[in-house]
Amino acid sequence: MAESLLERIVGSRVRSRDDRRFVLLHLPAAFILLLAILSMLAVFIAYSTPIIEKEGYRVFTSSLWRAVEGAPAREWYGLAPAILGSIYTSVIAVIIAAPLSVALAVTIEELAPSRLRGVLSVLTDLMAATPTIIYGVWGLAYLAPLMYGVLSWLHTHLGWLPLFREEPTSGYTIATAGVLLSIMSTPYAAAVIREAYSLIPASLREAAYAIGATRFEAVRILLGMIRPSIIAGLALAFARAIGETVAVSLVIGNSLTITASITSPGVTVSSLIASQFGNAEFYHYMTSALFAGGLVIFLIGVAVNAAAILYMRRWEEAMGLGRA
Amino acid sequence: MGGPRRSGTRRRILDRLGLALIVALAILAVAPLFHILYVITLRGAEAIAHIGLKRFIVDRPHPFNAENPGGIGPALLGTLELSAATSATATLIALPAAILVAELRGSRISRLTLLLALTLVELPTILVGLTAYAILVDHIVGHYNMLAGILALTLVILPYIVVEASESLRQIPAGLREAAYSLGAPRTRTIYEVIAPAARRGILVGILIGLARAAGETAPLLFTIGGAYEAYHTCLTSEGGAVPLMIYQFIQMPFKPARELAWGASLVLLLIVVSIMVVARLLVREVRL
Repeated sequence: MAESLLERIVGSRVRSRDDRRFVLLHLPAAFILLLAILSMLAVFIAYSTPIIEKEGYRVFTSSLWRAVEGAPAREWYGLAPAILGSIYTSVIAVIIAAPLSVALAVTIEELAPSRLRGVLSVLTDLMAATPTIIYGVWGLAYLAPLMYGVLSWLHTHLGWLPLFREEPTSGYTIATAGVLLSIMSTPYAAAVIREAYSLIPASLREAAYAIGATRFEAVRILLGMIRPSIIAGLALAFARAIGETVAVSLVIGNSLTITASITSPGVTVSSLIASQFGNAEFYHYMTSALFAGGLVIFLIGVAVNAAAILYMRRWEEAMGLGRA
Repeated sequence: MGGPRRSGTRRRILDRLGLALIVALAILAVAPLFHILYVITLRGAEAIAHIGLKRFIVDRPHPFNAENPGGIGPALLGTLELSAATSATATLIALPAAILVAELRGSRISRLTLLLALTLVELPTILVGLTAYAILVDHIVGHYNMLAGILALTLVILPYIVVEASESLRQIPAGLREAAYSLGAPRTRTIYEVIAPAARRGILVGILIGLARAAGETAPLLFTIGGAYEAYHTCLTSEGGAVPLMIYQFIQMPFKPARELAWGASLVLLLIVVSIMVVARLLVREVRL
């Protein structure tokens, strides 16, 4: 009886007592992973319940942020600017990271001579390993002033576009956060694209050259073949960008307004949490509102990630490109 | 007449231009890294030279004292404590999980465990920190404490070790296992005395990647360890500091000595993370992140 239950959990045959001991010894570790994700979800649902009971769905759609000390009934928290800001900065990051990561992957896998290839691959790993706070400090001290100049120029010359309508008052803007996020997420997207590129059978590359394709044309054909991995890699980059906290909070300017202009300061859910959580204990509902924001990026992150993994797995099976 | 030839020239030009564009974009993608390394080294070295290396490593910070900004001693100790404890707990959980993934490959539990690890790795680290806050700070201990930081960091680095270790376990040739079985060794013993030792390099690389993450993460520590830099804390249930959190708080202060400390601390943090990655790189050629 117990045996068959164990087999059902594991999904494969448990033949001997030896097998059974192995499974029982190692199953708890997998269970801890499941428990970790479920308890995170439980914590976010439990902590955001008070604000959802008070404001209903409007906590996600309102843009009013009113913190009143000692008068819980008058407190009001709307997360719309933060949720839109998270999505906006992450979309900007992915749009910039897309050409960069594809070019980086193709250069490493296809174009660079073998020596340079190793160097580029080390540099990409180093970019992924560099702590996010280092990107944040650099963004605060160097990228923001640089972006201030660039955005001022864009506003003067292309100010009729909604994107650049507001005159930048400092370098701490939505655009700065988007650019910093794109730099940080490029190595992750590039790693996924590289792996798919290296799995393309040599015969297909040879076939492209055999019909007279130039190198650039061959690259374009091969990139077309791995398009699903490119999309999956960019989805993972998006999931990373939407959760990034300290680097963004140092450069985005933390202003609770909804704007389409990337030259204005903005806010994201995680930068809002980072900047407000310390004060939240003085108010009755603010902690709950910040957890509700966390719940939103939790669900977006899980959905994007699951979609990317399933999409890529189906594609790998369809192409017969299983990992060796 | 000249038709095909002209189009051949056009294709050749397009080929050159296209390849040049790809290489230029690739250079643009890694260019910020050089500037970051240059700037952090320069400003960090300046700050540390001004304060004095020994004082910077050992002393307590004096963020308002321009004459003597002090050092990052307590934060550095906190980071060492957090990283060591986190790597130990994460390895204890990740290794059996990785073995389960590799041993039962193809089964439902193997795919599910890997999927859970890949989901956990993409969850925003600030949410992991908030969860640790809710459980350990808000409910069990009652104030900020190092244990909450260890719990959060463990959940952050756990999936990296699972993925890396299970990949290297999978690459051990089946002949090794068959040899152990033919000697009459039971399954668990075969794994821990034959398979895992054979995959030790990959497992160690996974732990090192986790260690580098644990040392460099900021967001999981924001609402867990509290950020106490004035004294050396070693008790796990008391508040503590860490280098990345100190950088985050000090770089935002409008005082020059505080920011000087933050720049110096950034260089120290970068050196810690880079040297861990160099060791990992020497162990295997390809490090996946």
